[in-house]
Amino acid sequence: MSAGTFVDRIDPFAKRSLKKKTKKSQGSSRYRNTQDVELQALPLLKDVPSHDQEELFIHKLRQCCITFDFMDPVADLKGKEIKRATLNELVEYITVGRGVLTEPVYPEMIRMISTNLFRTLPPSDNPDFDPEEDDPTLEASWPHLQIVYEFFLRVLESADFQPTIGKKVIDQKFVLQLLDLFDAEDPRERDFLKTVLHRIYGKFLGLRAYIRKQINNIFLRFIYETEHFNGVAELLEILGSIINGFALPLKSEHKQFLVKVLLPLHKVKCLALYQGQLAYCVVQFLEKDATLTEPVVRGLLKLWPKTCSQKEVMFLGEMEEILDVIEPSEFVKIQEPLFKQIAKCVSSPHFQVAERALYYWNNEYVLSLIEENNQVIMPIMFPALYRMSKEHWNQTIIPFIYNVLKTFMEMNSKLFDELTFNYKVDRQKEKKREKERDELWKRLGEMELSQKRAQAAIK
Amino acid sequence: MQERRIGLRARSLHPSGRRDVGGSVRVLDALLAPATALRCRFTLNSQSPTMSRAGAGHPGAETTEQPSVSTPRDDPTQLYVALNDLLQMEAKFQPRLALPRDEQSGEVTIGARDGAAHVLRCLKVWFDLPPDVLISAISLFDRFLTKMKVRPCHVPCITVSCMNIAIDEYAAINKQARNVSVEELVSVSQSACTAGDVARMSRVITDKLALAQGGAANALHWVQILRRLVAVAGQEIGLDRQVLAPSSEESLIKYLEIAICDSGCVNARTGELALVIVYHQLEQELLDWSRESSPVPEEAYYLYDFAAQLQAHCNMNDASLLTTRNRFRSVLAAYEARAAAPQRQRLVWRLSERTLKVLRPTDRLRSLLPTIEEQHFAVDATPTRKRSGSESSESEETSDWPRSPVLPVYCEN
Repeated sequence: MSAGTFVDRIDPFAKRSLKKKTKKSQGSSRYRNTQDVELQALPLLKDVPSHDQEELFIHKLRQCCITFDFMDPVADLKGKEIKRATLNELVEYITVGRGVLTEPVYPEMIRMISTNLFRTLPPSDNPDFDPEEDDPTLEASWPHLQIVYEFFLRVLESADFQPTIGKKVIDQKFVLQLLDLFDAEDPRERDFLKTVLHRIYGKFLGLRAYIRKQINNIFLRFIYETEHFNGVAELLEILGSIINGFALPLKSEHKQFLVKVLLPLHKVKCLALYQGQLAYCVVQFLEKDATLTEPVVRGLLKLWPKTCSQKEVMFLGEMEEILDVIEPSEFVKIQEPLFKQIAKCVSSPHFQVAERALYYWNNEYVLSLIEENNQVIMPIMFPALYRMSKEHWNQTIIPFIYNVLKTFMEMNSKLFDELTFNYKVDRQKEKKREKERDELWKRLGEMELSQKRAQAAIK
Repeated sequence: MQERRIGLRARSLHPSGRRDVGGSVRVLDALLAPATALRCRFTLNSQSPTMSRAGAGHPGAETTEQPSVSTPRDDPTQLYVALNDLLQMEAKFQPRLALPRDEQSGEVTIGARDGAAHVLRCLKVWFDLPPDVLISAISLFDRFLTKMKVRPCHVPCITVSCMNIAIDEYAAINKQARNVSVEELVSVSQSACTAGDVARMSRVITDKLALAQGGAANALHWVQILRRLVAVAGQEIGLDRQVLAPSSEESLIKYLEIAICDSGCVNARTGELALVIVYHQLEQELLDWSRESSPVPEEAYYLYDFAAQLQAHCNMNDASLLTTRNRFRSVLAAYEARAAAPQRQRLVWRLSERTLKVLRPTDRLRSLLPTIEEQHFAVDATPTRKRSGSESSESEETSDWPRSPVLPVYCEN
């Protein structure tokens, strides 16, 4: 190898600007391979007597602690293959075997897992990565990493696994390093991490509070400092399963989490990446404790997007999901501020926002709530609807406005007529005021002119 | 008092005849007094009805907030002529709906008819059309349904076509261009038919109802004539205040709109319905009057005798008039009670592609992890429990958060 290529290999930034962006980019956190160890082929576990298996198992685990450089596709192919085969064998071994998870084996397993998984993630190849447009940068060492994750998962799910022994090696430090990996760009890795952490949370009661605290830290840093973290959706999915299992009455810690962490997560620009999971969490909270409805709805109204229409459409979608499960008594508490916002949405020049807001009237349950409280809601909505029926530019919105007005008319004709009448009266007053103002300006203009003429005449 | 209002006493009284029955004769005599006397009184104020708001009071009145409408046009004789015309045409323009309540063998139900009336009402509000157009449209619809057996699937097209004809008629009468196109009517009303369908159907309706012959005698015309008759009667009695002034037409039309949306009211004799509505308005006005400082003079109640005369003149029998009145009152009561309409139109919501893709954020969710139950107590999942000194045996899930009370975070918008 020439010195030139060697230097290129260790400098991760060299190729980036010159090379055309390939469809599937690969990244790796392993830039240098300091170990130049030859892997010896060991006998198969199934071929040795059972009293020797533990030792061999440990030996193989230690072998798998050696890492390889996958950025160079041809480097050390033999060693990579041995490791791959070994890892597969280990997976098979603990899946099929009984009583193979002995106490001495735990620290060895964790060491192997840590060595392979825990690494500083490389900086992003593409800082303007758009998950909906671009393909993610995949982990180059995935061929090995995948099996390590698979192994870890099988260990955790094994009937032989004992959390009391496990908790000595799966401790807070381990969990913290695991959580850091959630920022990986490779979605396959995050998917495994999600399942792994879910199982750890399930089995290690002593770690639960710590995990929740660290997740909060990650989210808060994400919201208020970096606005960058790839694993928000996965963490939220785990939280969804946790929220689902909350005991009643809800602990105040959990309520604080909802208000101080989950709601502000709506603020972030890249909400689209995780809104599904976030909405699920919010709705689960409300199903657990309906009295949280008011702070949630008011919180979302406070954070309502003002300049990003796509986000506004997302908020409307989430709000409808909340309305799907809302208690009528809670609805009454938030109907006024909510429908004031909806009236603004209906008046939005962005047709999608107006469309999504008007589509609420196609929801039977929401309609029944509106009907019960039409005396309050109709006066709020009517002016915007009536005005938009005359002014809106988009032809797909017009039938929606008609539908809503027709629905209102059928709900309460009298109120509808009163509102129509009042609207017209107000409009006339407004026109009169405008006319008076125009005339006033006109008179002022004339006065000014005549003054000028008078002054000119004097001179 | 109830009985007095819509005279249950049978009377037959023609404008040309006289009967010696108390004060009512005075009224009628006054109305039929030689034209000269009337003209003298009326020419004192020669403003047209449309300017009545700005006009001065009736010479006979003391202080009145509502100016009189005394014009040469409100000559009672002429009014009676107009009334007789309406009476002649009444049968021709009378709807006689015989609709089933429930869906049977492909017939238009009462609910469907009332629903169509509501659609017309909504279109009227949407396009800001004058009430004449609405009343005319509903009248056309009902008359068509009376004459022809219609399939329910055609109702939307017929509804829009009636509105179309009514708009044309109004434009013709007022010599203005129509400001709502057929295409707009079709698209807004969601009637699932084309402008061509509406044009064809309009021709069919025009033919079947022989509209080309002209003439019109719908409830609005009745209400207008009767209002003026009663108003003049009120003036002749010499009341301090004017009753049923032109300004009350707005209210009368409102009642009429409410009534004609109900097929029961529409099946009543048009004249009866009009009389009921006019007298309901009169009752409200007298009620308002009595609530204010000055008491209602006894003479005002002679107007109820006048009602009896009108009833006789128009040959309305007591029983059917009473039925009509009760029907109207119940419809009005439902309206005042802000009741929801019994039938709700099935509306079409055609979403754009972009919005349809993701309506709800959780639509995007592909997977859900199994629930992890929160533990109150230290229930360890493992078979043997080894105590390590540092762990507390209470809730192993002890939170690391400070225990602060929940402070809901929300601010006034």
